[in-house]
Amino acid sequence: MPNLISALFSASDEQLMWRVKLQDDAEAFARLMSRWQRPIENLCIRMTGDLHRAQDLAQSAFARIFARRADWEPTGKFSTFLWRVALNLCHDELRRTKRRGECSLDALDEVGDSQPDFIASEEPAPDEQADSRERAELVRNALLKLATHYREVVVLRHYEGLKFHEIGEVLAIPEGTAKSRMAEALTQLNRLLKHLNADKSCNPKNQTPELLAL
Amino acid sequence: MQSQESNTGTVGIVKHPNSSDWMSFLYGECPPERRRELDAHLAACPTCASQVQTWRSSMNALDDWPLPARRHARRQWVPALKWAAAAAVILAIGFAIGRETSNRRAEVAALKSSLADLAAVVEREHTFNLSNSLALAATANTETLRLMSDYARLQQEQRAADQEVMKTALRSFDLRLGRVRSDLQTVAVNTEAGFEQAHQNLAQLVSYSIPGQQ
Repeated sequence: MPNLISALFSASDEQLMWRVKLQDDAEAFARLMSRWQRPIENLCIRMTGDLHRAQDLAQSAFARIFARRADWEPTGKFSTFLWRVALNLCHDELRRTKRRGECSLDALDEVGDSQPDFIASEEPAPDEQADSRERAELVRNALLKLATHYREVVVLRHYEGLKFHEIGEVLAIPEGTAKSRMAEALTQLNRLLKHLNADKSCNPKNQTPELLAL
Repeated sequence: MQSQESNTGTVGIVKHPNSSDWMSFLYGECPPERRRELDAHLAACPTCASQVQTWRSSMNALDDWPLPARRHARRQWVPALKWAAAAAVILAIGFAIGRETSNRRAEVAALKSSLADLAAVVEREHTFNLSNSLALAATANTETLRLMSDYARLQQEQRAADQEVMKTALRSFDLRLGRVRSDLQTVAVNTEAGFEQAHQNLAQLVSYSIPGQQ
């Protein structure tokens, strides 16, 4: 109910962005950021697997939107525009990482092992915690091995809760294509997880095996 | 795409739903009627049931990678910030009410009035200076005219006075000339009378003869 009331009395994203575009309204932009910073960070975390890099990318996405505020046209939803900008930045970052020859999974392992950011909010027993962290590592590794055009659909639909038609708008693809990509991504994930699980049971130290060419 | 193709076909007279249908089904985006049809198909078709189970397995696995909890310090700030914001709002309201109702309101009003007066004075001074300059210019012009007319008048008076002096001098000269003429006439008369006397004397003298000589 409070959300409904606040939604009734608060300006829409598009109204706020309109103010940013026409009046350089910093307060309106700050409100947009407070609404969208966390979802965009989450998207970037799922796409890159790195919290700090994701936070930087989210900041860059907002900076880019503010810098290009004059180009924004209120023909569609602001969120569609924002998701698209953030995803493009993620793609650029992933391409750069690939060019540098960095292994994102190694980076993920370092992050996952060293810092307390990647812990569940509730504190289970140590054994349970170790198991859940292990499962999380497997899923994260499998997800990051998906091709980007599959991963982004999974992230937007499964984690960010966008409808398939909204994903189609963000990615500029037909809704049916978004659905078939999702189906293919889930199929590949199932296969990847089986391989990762099998490999883990055979050789627990090797967590980044060569998998299927996807 | 393999899953979609392998899943498209017919079982007897029933056509298998495609992967797009199943994605809408799994993510709760299909209408209730279509959902009932797919449920019925799932119950009757082991092939589709197996495929859907594979996808559900992947979906469940995705949930094993929880969102990274952000740093505790940052999370603890959120309620603190909320309370701080609430306190700031209350303080601001209290300050506004207090300012409106306190005795200082009169002082503030007086101050505002003084300020308004000052502004009016400055404005008036500005206007006055402008009009004063114009008036001065006009006065200067009038003064010049007045001085010129005074000068002309003085010149006229001077000329009149000079003429009067000249007249007086001429009159005095005429009087003295008249007196000189009168004196000269007197002298002349006296001289004539003396000459006649001298003539008579001389005639008497001449008429006197020596007695013996006759």
